[in-house]
Amino acid sequence: MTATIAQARDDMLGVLKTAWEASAISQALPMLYPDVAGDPPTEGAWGRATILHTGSAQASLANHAGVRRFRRTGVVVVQLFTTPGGGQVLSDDLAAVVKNAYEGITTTNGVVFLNVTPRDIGQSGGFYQVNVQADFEYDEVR
Amino acid sequence: MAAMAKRLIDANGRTVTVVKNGTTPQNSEQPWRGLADYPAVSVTGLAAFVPGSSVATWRVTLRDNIKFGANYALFPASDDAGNQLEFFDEILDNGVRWKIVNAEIIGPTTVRLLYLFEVAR
Repeated sequence: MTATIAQARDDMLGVLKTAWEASAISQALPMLYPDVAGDPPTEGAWGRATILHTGSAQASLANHAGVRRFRRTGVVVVQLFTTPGGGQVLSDDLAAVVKNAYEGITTTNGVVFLNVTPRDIGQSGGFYQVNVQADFEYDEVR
Repeated sequence: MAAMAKRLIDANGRTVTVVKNGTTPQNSEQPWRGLADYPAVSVTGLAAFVPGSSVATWRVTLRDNIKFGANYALFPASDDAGNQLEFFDEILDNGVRWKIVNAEIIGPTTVRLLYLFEVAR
């Protein structure tokens, strides 16, 4: 199972979209994706996903045709914003939706998620923020 | 006053397109792959770009350790084709895409004379 960057991105965001829309808690809330035109909501709860590639390394010797395996690593960060004053009820529920989406998962194209971690960021402006981040790795053959 | 503003902008401005982004994804299964209806609404007209010192206190913001001066665009309300441009998102200016970060309507009470857009690249 190998993936190109585009396939891996589709896998990572697809996993999130499926879980976000399957949960009654989150399905009506907006999720913002990287580099898609639009402004964040100014009220209510919402999320924003970001994929950050952080490293690449050759992971195999070349075969007879010179084809090698390269391992890509990085982190997917899902920021969750809720209206402050809710006693972290909704933020905990949303963090659980995202955490469960990634924890222990390997996608069909071989993207593996590791170290899935909710991080309490706290209140900033008109929102209470929790991030859920997951390390990822996948192999590309080329 | 509105006529004077429009005359000055017509004489000194350049053609821009004010754009409101759509919300419908190109592929509903992969909404992260862009929008289908970009732009959803656009209005083309002449706008005058002016430095901040002409319309307000000069302001410099620091982003990514680079100093950016504020840029403003004045657009006559008579050219808005009935749209509320204060809710629009971007200005396309001869290949440059300016993000509207602030919009004000200049005019007495509810009369719209000019849009003052603060824009950033």
